[in-house]
Amino acid sequence: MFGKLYLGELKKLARPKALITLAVLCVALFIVFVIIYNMQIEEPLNTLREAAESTENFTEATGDGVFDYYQDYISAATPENVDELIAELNETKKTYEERNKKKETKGQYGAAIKELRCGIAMLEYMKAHNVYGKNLNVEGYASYYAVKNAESFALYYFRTIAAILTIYGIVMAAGLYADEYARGTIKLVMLRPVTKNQVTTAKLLALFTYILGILGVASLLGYAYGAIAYKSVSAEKVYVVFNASSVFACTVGGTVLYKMFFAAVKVLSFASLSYAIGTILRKKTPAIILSFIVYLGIISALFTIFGGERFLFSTNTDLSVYFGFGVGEYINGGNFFLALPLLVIYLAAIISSTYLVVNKRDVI
Amino acid sequence: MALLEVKNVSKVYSKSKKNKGGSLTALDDVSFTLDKGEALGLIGPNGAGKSTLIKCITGLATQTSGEITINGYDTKKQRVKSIKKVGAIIESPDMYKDWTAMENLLYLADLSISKEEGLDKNGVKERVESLLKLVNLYDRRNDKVYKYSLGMKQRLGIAQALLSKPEFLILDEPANGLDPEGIKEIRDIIRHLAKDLDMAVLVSSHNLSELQLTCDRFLIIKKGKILADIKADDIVKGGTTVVIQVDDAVKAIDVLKSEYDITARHEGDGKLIADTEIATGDITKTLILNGVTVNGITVKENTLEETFLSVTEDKKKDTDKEFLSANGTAIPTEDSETGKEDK
Repeated sequence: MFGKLYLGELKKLARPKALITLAVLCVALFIVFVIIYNMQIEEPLNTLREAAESTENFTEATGDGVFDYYQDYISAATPENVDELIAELNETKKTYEERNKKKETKGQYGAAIKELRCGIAMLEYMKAHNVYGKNLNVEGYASYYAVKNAESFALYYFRTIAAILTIYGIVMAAGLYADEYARGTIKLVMLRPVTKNQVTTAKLLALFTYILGILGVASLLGYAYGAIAYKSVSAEKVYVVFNASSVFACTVGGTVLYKMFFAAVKVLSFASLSYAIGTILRKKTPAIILSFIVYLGIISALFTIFGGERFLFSTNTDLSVYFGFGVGEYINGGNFFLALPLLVIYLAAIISSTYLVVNKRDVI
Repeated sequence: MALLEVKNVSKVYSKSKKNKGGSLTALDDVSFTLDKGEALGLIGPNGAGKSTLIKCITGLATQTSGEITINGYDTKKQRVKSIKKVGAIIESPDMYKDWTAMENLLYLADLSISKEEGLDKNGVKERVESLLKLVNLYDRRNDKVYKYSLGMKQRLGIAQALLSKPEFLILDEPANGLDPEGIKEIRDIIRHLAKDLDMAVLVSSHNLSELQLTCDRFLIIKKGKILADIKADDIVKGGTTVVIQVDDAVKAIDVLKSEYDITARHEGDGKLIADTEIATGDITKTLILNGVTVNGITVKENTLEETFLSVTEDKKKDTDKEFLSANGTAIPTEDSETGKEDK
């Protein structure tokens, strides 16, 4: 019975008009994306490095050059100078941490401190494993980002679709129960020998399947085009600084996979939130508005003023920020081992509240 | 054991803006039973609690106290088992409008037909098609539901209610929006289901004359309480109304009271109404002998509507008397009554 319920929910989601709109949107985005991607000036990282070497103080020259500044350290490191470079970075980190605590500059150095910690972790890894080299692929600086290849095309296209799907998913999820209440069809389902939990689960699973299905198609489409049009660098080795404290080696293909995974988690997290609000309020529009307020970080922006934004749902939906140097935004005091359980707790609370409300409340 | 047993069921809606901040008793200690083969009509004004009762029976709402069982299964604790053999249309025949009638019924059939029936895909399709034929929608089966008229949707609603081959059918306002021909079709379907298929049918409707033709028992409900549980035969037997046209209404009322202990009502212009089973010939003779000129006398059988009005009016008077004696204040008007709109 559950299987049929689930298939029915999938059918409700896959309305022809909605599917056609989405397909047209994805194809249009694909075409636009191919044009933009091909217009990019191919600028291998070496160019940046050369520019950095020719500048006396790269940080000042680039304004917020912290990002490239530590790459400069990594590419300049040798077994002879690595200890000296680590000490230098530690010294700078200490200064930034003090500034970050001062009342007038409180919280302003969070991103710089993270970069410094990543730099130190990477240099220590290089020292411990005796890995040095100017063209070392480091996540966040990796040269595969700067040149056209199948992986970067697939990842960027996937992320664009994921961003669109977050919005689309919020709208779709908000109406899963709310639309059925508004149209009166909820009683059609609830008058059958199925439990409320089965209906709630079927709707949620159908929503996840739908989103993941579209993301799956997007990743295959992106990768297929990328592989035909550009060279694949999937097997190339890349070093990833995890949680700004430890380093692991991975293939480019591997990094693309986990990035896609985290992007999908983010889409599903916001869809779950919207589903819960739509179900609890039984109204679609307020659920969409509230979910967008959370998605756009309006609440977390307020929290940034007072601190504590690292505990919010919206700041913990993108776990990819804890992998690599400069991936996405950085949260002051953020930590993967705080973010992961928080995200799990938030999702558990969001999803279980949906079940609780549906079970406790009269259907009509 | 009756198919449906409703024991001391009450439903209280908690405080909300809708209830003007107070709690609202939608059902108050309701009890009745329903057997197979019986067609029971549920009658009551708007806000009487009819829909709430139906929602509680189908498990769409949970009663605050009391117990409802269908085939021995508690609708609160064993909802899934209790509604396995129940088909229903509640409030309006809402369907998935973007789907065709066939798609709607196939989806709902998948959820309704139990494994024990052992129907394969073709078997399910055959059942759906036979129901579409029964409600006269087979030719329009591949049309999207948004193209349907209200009457067609109502018929489709009946078809979906019959998917599980129910033993108990609940129809909330099944004749809504139907033309006279459609109403007759629905009536015939209900009677066929109750009598030929031994199904228990519970019908809620405002159309009392139609309900009288459809059901063989009636529950009159008002303000969440059952005021009367009447069999169709008792309505006809229960009494007749005699309409007498006389020259002197005051004298005629006195004569009828002294001779037969009948309380007649004067409706103006010498027209008297009396509820009695005494033969019209006897009444005429007695009145003439007492010096009253009788210009005409006719007998009218009681209708369900009259019974309903008489029951609800009597109860209102009783309630008003109770209210007056308890409070010593003015009688509350209909407007001042709290009543949840359930339509």
